[in-house]
Amino acid sequence: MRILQTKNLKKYYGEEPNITRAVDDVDLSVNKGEFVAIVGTSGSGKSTLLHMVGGLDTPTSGSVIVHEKELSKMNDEELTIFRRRNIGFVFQNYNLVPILNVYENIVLPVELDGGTVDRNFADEVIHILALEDKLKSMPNNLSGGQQQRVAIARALITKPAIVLADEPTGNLDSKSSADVLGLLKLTGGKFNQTIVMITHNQDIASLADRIIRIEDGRIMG
Amino acid sequence: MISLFTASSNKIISSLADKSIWADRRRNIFIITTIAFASCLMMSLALYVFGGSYQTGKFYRGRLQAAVLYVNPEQFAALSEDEAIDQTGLSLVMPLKELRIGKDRLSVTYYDEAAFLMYSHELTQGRLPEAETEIAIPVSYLEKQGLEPALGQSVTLELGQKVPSEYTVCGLIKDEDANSSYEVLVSQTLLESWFSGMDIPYSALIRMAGSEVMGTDELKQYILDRMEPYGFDEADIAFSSSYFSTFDNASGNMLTTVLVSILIVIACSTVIYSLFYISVTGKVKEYGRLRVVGITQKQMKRLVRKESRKLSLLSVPLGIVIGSIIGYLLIPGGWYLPNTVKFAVITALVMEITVRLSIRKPVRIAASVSPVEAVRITTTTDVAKLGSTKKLHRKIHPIPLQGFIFPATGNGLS
Repeated sequence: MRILQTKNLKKYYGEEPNITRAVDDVDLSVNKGEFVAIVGTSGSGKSTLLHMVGGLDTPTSGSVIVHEKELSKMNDEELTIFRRRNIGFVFQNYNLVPILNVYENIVLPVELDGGTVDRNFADEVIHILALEDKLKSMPNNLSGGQQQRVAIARALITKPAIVLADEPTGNLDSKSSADVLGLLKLTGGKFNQTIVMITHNQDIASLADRIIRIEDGRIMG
Repeated sequence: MISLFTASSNKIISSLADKSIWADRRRNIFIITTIAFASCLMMSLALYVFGGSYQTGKFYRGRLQAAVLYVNPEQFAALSEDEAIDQTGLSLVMPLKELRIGKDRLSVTYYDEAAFLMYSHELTQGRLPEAETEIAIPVSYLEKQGLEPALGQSVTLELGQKVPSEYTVCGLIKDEDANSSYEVLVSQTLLESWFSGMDIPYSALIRMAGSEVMGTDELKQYILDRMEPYGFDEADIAFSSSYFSTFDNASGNMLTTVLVSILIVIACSTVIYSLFYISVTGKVKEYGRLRVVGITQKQMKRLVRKESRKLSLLSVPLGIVIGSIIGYLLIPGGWYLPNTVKFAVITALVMEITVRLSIRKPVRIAASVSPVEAVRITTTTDVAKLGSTKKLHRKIHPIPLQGFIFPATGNGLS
C-alpha cells in the first residue's frame, strides 16, 4: 500500500533569471512499512523535499499525498491537525520543548489533539527506547543521544502513517548515532512504521531498505 | 459552545501556559509588577478622590444650602410646607451677642432642631435649650474654663439687662476645639424676652429637594426662583459658601481622576505590550517547535492569551488589595464598602481590557510563526548549564588566559 506519493513536486525561490530550483519536479512514492533513505549532498534539496512531504512547507506546484490525503487541499488548521496525527518528525536538532519533561514531550502530540494516550503502546515505546528512568527529566539534562530517543518516541506516539527523519544523527557522536539508527530501524520494524530519512552520509543510508538519491533538486536514477 | 476537542485540549494548553510562565519568571515578574502597580494606582486614586467626595458628601448631607434672611413666623411656616424645599430650619440672621471671655469668643445664637442638624452639629449629651435659663454649650469651652463638662453645670453669661446672667447647661455640643470661637445656643423663650415685643430677626435655613443632581449655578438660580413668590429677592438670600465651593471642587476632582487613570492605562498597556512583544519574538524558535509538533494557530493564540490571563488573575487582585489599603490609609473617613467594591470591579475590568488589547499584536505574531521557521533555525536545544556540559569550556578573561600564555613551568609560549 502506498503511504506517500509526490507528483511533479516543485519548490522554486525567486524569479527568472535568478530563480533557485530547490526541488525540481520530483515524483516519489513510498510503500507502507518501508525504510527509505534520501541521500544528497548539502544543498541538494533533500531537506526542502522532506519539509514539503511533512506539510511544513508549501510547494510552488505539484502535490503531496500522504495516507491518501492531498496536503495542498488543506488549510493551515487542517494541515496542522493532519500532521500531528499522521506524520512524526525526528530532527537533527531534536526540537524538544524545553519546558516540558521527557514524558510530557513524548505525549504532547496526543494531548494537543485532545486525545487519550495509549498507555500500553507508550510504555512499549518508552521501554524499547530505554527511557523509563528519564521520564521526569528535562531535555537540557539529557545527552544528545537521549534527546534524540525522546524525539523518536514522540514521533511514534500517535502511530503515524509516516515518520520523517531529517539528519537524525547530525548532532551525535558515532556511538550515539549507531544507537539512534538502530532504534529507528528496530521501532520501524516492530511497529511496521514507514520511515523516510534524509542524510548526506552513504553509510547511514545503507541501513535503509531503499536509497533515493537527490541532486540539484532532482531525483537521480 | 466549546467543542469537545477544544475542551479536552484546554488542559494541555493550560499546562503549557503554566510551565511557560514559570520558565520565564524574570519577564513575568515585570509584567506582574506592572499590572499590579497600575491596578494599585487606579484603585488608590479612585478611593482617595471618591472617598474624599464621599466624606465631604457625608458631611454635607442634609446641610444647608442657603439662608433666607428676616423671615417672620408665617413665612417660615409656609416655607416649611413647600414641597420644593427638603428641609427648613430656624436660626437668627446674626448672633444675639458676641462675648469676649479672655482669648475666647462666644457667639450666642439660636437654632431649632432642624437648623442644628443642618449645620452638622451633634450633641454628646442632653438636648437643645427650651427654658429661658437653659443653654447648650461646646464641651471644649467648659473644659477650657475649668468647668466640668456635665449637664446641670452653671455658666455665667452677661447677655444684657432683659435676661438672666446665670444659665444651666442642658446640652453638650460635640466640637474639635480647633480654635477659640464657640457657639452657645439659647432657647426661643430667651429670644422672646431679649427682643420683648420687637420682631425677632429670624433666618430660615433651607435645603432644596432633588438638588443632588443640580450643578451649582443651576441650584442657585433654582433657589432664587423658588423664593421669589414669597417676596424674597437675591439680597434676602445668603448662599452657603462652604456648600457651593465644596461641590465645585468635587466635579473637578472627578475629571482629574479620569484623566490620570487614562494616563495610567496608556502607560501600563505600553509596558505590557512591549514585554509581551519582546517575549513572543524571543520565543519564535519555541513556537516553531510547537507548530511542528502540531499546535494549531488557534491553540497558539489560546496559549498566549492564557498566559496573560493567568498573570492578570494574579496581579490585578493583588494591586486592588494594596490599592484598597492605601486608599483607606489616605482617607479613612471616606472609606465606604460599596464604593470600594464598585471601584474594585471597575479597576479589574479596565485592567482586563487593557491587558487584552496590549497582547493582541503579540498573540497574532505568535500564531503566525510558521513551523518551517523552527526547523530552518540551526540550533541545539537550550544550552545546558556550563557546569554540566561534557565539553571543555574556557572563559575569555585575562586571568584564566594567563594559564595558556604562562603555564606552570613558567616557560611562556613555546
